[in-house]
Amino acid sequence: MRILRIALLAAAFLGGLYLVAWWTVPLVAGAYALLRRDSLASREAAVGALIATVVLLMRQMLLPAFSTLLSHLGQIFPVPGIVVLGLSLLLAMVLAFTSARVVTGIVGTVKRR
Amino acid sequence: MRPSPIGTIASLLVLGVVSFIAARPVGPLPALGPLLDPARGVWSSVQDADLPADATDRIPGLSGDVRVVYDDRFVPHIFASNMRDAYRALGFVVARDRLFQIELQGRAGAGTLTALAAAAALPVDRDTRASGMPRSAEARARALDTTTAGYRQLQAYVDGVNAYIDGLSPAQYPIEYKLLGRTPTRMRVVDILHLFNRMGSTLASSRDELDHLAASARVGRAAADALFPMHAPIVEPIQPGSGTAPRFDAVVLPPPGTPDAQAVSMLRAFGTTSSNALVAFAPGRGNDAIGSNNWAVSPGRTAGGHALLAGDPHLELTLPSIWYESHIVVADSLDVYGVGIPGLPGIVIGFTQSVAWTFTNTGADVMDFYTEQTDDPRTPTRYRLDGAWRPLETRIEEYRSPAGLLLDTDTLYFTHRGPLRRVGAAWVSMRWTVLEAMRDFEAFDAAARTGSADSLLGVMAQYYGAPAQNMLAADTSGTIAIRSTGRYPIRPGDGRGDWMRDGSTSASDWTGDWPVGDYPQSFRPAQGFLASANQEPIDPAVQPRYLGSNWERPWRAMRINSLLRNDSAVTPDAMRRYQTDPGSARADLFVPALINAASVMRNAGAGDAKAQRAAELLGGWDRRYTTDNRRAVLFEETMRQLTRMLWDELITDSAGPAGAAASNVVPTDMMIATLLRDSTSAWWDQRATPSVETRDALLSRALASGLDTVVARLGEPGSANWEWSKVRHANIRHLIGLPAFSRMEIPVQGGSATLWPSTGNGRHGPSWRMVVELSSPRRAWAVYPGGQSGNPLSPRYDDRLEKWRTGTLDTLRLPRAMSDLAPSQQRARLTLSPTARREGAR
Repeated sequence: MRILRIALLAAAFLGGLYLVAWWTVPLVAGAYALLRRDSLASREAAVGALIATVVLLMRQMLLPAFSTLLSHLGQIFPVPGIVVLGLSLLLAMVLAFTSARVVTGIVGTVKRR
Repeated sequence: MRPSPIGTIASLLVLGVVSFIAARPVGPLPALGPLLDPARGVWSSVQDADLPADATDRIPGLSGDVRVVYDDRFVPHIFASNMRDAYRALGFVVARDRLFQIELQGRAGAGTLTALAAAAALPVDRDTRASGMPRSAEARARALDTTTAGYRQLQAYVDGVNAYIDGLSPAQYPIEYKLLGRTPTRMRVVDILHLFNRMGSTLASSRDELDHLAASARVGRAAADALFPMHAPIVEPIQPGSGTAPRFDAVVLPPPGTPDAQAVSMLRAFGTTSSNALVAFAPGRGNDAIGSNNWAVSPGRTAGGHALLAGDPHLELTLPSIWYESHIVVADSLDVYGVGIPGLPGIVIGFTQSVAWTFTNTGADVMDFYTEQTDDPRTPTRYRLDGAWRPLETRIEEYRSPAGLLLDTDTLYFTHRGPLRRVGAAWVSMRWTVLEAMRDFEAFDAAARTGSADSLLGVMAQYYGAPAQNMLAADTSGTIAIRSTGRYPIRPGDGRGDWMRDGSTSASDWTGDWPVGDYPQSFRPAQGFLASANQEPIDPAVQPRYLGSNWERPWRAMRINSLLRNDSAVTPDAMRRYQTDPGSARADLFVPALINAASVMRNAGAGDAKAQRAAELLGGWDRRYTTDNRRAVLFEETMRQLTRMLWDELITDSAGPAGAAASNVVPTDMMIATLLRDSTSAWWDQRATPSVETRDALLSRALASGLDTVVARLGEPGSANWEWSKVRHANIRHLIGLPAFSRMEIPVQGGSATLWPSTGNGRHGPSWRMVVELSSPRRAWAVYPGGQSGNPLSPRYDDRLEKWRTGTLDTLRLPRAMSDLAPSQQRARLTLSPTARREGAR
């Protein structure tokens, strides 16, 4: 059940990222936390966002120019290209995790009152 | 388990900070959210690295389908049924490969780079606006007759570019936009005119007045006149004369004189920093390696019995390249192949079924400066002309950030001559042909539809204005012809334009233009070949009228002419070899003089061991700038030392009445060559030494000093560090200078004044090498440094670089119909239609 939930969540992230933009990640995560109302929501959101990002990046990673891009990014930014790639994943996870956590916390506080 | 309130607050804080960093640029970094977006950020750029094998797309306004097939060099061959469709398709395919370049170059010409690069671009935009180029382009755009076929073709090209932009998703934006955090801007017709102006600023700026003034302030007007002469003392003109060898006109340089009081006073008024402002007035002032070579050979002197033409324009080397290669076929009316500038419709250099053409820069003086009197030293409203005050035109220039915020404003002033600029305490106006009405687009359009060299040069003379170019053409009938084409002003009085003129009188104004009949030109020359390399185009004994001054050195022209004179059966492959020929007429002239000087000094008992050693080393040099030679470095350093020692009167830090205001200017080595004939000229003497030096003493000293310097820097002679490939490089920077997208330190075969010129920072050089045989069917070969794609992730970004470096040319595919290209020669197809749904990646 949990795997299915995360898969659906990842699909929602994927849809938001593919059809709209990066800023849908915290919105989807927040909405998920609101529905889930469980402290596990933030971790599941992070995993879902990670999966969606990896799936989207997989399309590019299979292309020969991807390694060229990593090498170029390593020269443009003061960190190796692989770190920039890691940042992409981390950004999605942090946005999803913190957004879900904030919503879970607020919902919990309201419920307590 | 519920999160604690502290955890929630901490999460909220982290979410806020991360969202802020993701949404907004921080320092030099773009907003990370869009940049790292896995679907449309920087990662998606890899998807456009390769062209899809088959794609369809839509361009509104097409009258029918246009088929484009990319050959195995990724050159698009465009097959259209009418001219407007062809131009629409051309705009589309060029944007498909070079969209960022189109916008960047257009903005550079418009002075709106701040909209891409924010305040960092403000100084560049300021100079561009102050040059008057944007004002001129806007005025010309307003004056365009929108009912003409020419205008409709301009609009068609713009429509093609915009159709491509309109169909782009953010994921498909070129990577530079993503790194800068910007989005593409739709193109306008005026952007084409901005780009034409930018070409003009690169090729038609001059600072002769400033060099003249600075030299006069050091050594007097007579000496300055002689050092920066109106005519080149070595006569090897483009328009062939009667001789078969260069003529050295006897020139006796007057000794250094006392500073010219008027020049000193003007320079003082300009001030040190302000004279830099005056230099900036001439936006693209000449670079040593911005020049070009071209030559053509009549059928009687070629092995194949067909005319041959070689084009080799030298410009700034960038990635992506300044050129984009394409082939346009419109049934029964056009079949033109060549290169154009992304953002400009049409083919600039290329060939049709029957005629080929190419250009070198003429370097004529078409930019003059005038000192003006204004009614207020700081905020003038009027300027004085013929004793009366006339109103100044003012224009408020606004500089805006990418977000549209106002960064700064300038008030610009214009006289009837052109832009007016404050230079120190003085006001100086400028008149420049580039800013005035011209019909250059129509020239290129008409040229591509002509059938002979005569008619091509005819339409160019009719329409083309600036920058003046030595236009060389050859055709299948065997004609070769050249004409230095452009608008050349006639000045009053002595006719010279290399002195600043008094702006308070209209008697200083241009009085007309040269008639075409007076242009330097040659059709079907008896010698059987024609060549140009930016040298003075006509023998002053034939045409003494002022066309410019301080001409490009003749060394490249001398070398080409020597090669062509000695080859009576020229082949296309020989033409190719000549383009990268490592020989140097300059070295051929100076090396014997240096060796002889060392010998004379030794025989006179005043020899210097180091000079002798240097002379021996140079004596063993074949005077070729091959990548593996180990002597060119010594010769170049010796020449540098000689220049420094010889022109010591001109190179000073702050001495002299003009002080630091007089910038250091030195004559070209053409003047040193002239001076070699006068062994006791006062110029040979070094002021800092108690003795009085002669020619041989100074040449010998330069040899010793050159050797000392090279040994200190690179080690003993014979060291591998002396190898030319380790010393001289081409440096090809990406358009916005990103090192990751640049290709630096490329060893090159060539040096100062060779046919592959390489000097300075290595950022200028051969931008397109082309050889065309005017046979039936035509044959052609070419290469440029870079590749067709502007996407740095594409293998097509720099796939031609190695061939360019080694002097190899590709055989060009010249199909007259799509079916002429074998499947193995095709890499991709694109169908453009007025209504098609987009299919395939872009």
